[in-house]
Amino acid sequence: MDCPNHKLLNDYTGDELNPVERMMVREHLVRCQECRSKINELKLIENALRDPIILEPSVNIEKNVMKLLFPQTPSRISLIVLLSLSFALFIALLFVFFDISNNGVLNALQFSGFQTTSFLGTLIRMMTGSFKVIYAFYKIFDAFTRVLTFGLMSIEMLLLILSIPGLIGVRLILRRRDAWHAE
Amino acid sequence: MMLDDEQKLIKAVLAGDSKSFERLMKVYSRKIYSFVYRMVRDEEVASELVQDFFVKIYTVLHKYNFTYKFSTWAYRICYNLVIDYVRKNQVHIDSLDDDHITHKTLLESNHFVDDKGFETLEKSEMRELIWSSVDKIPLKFRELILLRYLDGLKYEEIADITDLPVGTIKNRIFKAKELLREEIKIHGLPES
Repeated sequence: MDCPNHKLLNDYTGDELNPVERMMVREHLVRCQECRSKINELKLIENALRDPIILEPSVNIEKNVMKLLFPQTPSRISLIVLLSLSFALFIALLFVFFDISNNGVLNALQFSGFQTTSFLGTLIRMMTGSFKVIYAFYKIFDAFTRVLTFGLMSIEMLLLILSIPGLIGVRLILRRRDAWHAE
Repeated sequence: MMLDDEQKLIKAVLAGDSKSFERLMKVYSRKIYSFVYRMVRDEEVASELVQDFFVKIYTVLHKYNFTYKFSTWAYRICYNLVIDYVRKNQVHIDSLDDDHITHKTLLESNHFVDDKGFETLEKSEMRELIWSSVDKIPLKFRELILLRYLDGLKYEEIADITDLPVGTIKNRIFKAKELLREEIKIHGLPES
């Protein structure tokens, strides 16, 4: 067999020859140093190509696509927290501006509401009733935060008290160790 | 019909599971990015095109036919997207396309390095050299080398993607390798 052309050698390195052609090329390679050298060269290229360099994008493509396709909606928990905070703020504002517990205007309105049986009286009664309910909620909220604050402070104090003998103990151990080392 | 892992993910995406789409993207993002970047040779453009590709995949996923391989379908969409961009930006891409390589004369030459020049290169050096040379060969050869070796597609799959006959693809890949060999000989071999 004459020296195979370059295309045939290339197909040989790429495993693209049929078994007969492959055998013929292989037999030729045993005898031909020049073709062996060519094959080695082609194999180096083929092997390098079969081991591609995969590039890493500098931006997080998946994250960007997810943001585009599925815009984030606030979670249920964050909504509840937001609503609770708004409610607390609303109550606080009501309390600050109207001083519900001792508001003369409100008391006057309430009094006039009880005195009036017309639609206006009903409206005033509803309003003052609503304010009372809101105030009741505020008191509950206030009591809850006080209990929570008291609880947290108590835990903090307890930890502080417990840490003192602990620290003293550690100090004693270290002293004893130093004394033992000195001996 | 037996579904492969990717097709199971697609089923889940079609049923409304967005996490499955994220997983599908993870499988393809680096390979697709490497392909697109080597085609357009611009990091920013490549990132945008890959994002556009995934958005497009998501919007047309309901048209995917489960009797075909997903990768071939996806690469066809990606290839068309990139080729559209290249056509619209012909001047820019062509200016990078190294017309200085007179590949016809290179291909006609039957000259090989007769010393041990190629063999003296380390495997990793050779890999670096080859893949940086891939970036320098003309687009019509480069795209086929990328589909064949970067994405590991079969000739028939490449034919489906590019609408080229298998014979033409084989021939161009052979020519591309010749160009790579010559490119290494011209620019890459260390001084002896």
